[in-house]
Amino acid sequence: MGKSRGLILSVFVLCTLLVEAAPVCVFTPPKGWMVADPKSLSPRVKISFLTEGKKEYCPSLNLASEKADLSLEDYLKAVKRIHQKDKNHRWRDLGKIDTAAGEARLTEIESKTPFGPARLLQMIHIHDKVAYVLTASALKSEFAAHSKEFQKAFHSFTIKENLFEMLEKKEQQESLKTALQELLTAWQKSPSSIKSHKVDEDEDFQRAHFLPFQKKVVEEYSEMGSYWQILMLQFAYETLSK
Amino acid sequence: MKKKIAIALLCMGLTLSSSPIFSAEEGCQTMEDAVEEMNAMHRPGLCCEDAAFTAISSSMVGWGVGLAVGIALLTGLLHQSKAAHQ
Repeated sequence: MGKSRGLILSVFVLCTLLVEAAPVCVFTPPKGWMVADPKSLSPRVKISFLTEGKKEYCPSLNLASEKADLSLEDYLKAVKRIHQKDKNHRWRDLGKIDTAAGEARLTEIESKTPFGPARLLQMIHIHDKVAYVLTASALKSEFAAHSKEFQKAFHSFTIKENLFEMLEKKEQQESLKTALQELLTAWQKSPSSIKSHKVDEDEDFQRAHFLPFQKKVVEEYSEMGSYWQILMLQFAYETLSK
Repeated sequence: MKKKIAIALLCMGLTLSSSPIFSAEEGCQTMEDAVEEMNAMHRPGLCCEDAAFTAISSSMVGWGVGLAVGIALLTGLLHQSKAAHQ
């Protein structure tokens, strides 16, 4: 009776969290790229990925968003005004681009750096009064070498109601939801969940339950990309902390 | 007397309406939300500016770290050579 009650409760909590959650936007960064230190990011930037290896100027990809109750055309006009004020930037509109989330606009910025001119491509998409900007950057001389990776990342940009909806196969969705429900049930039985509600303080729980869940997400869902995996683990952690 | 009661009630109403109890009502914004909405209304496109700035600054972090390491190594070498001459 106690076990089934715990399972029903964890299913209820998971369903509630999925329904209440805001839409999620994800893109697939190139394999092997590292996550930048979150402290180094500007306020509206959600995440940034940098290429591996030591370089003077590392090619990067970052995702930012802001509230924007405007059409895409009006938003672009505002962006153009901002960039044209900066004498170090040369801005131009490259036209439409198709993404998994729908039609977006691609813009280019050329900026002077100590290492020579850098080229930035910004993919801009507006969805439900929110502007999403995916920015790819590399030195102009090296940009062609990363062009395919950047194009793939832009095309992979998608917005869904939750992370599970991004999984194409139903079996994958069910398997992950089941794993998360089991994690939640195990946490509810753990003494730390009653005392402190802090997953960080319970090393036994982390070793026995959270790390295997993390391993499952990393190994079985590698095709979803590292950003999706990070968000899923973050979602699991936040679910346990509520 | 009636005037005094009316004034006291008015003062109480003004005081309570600006108290933290009322700020907890649903639909009230936090200061951060209000600032973000104002920025979005008056200066949309800040997101693109932020993203471009982050792209350039984070790409150059590797250069900054390399420079710091280089300076530290050079300082160490100079210190050693001074000690050897003495």
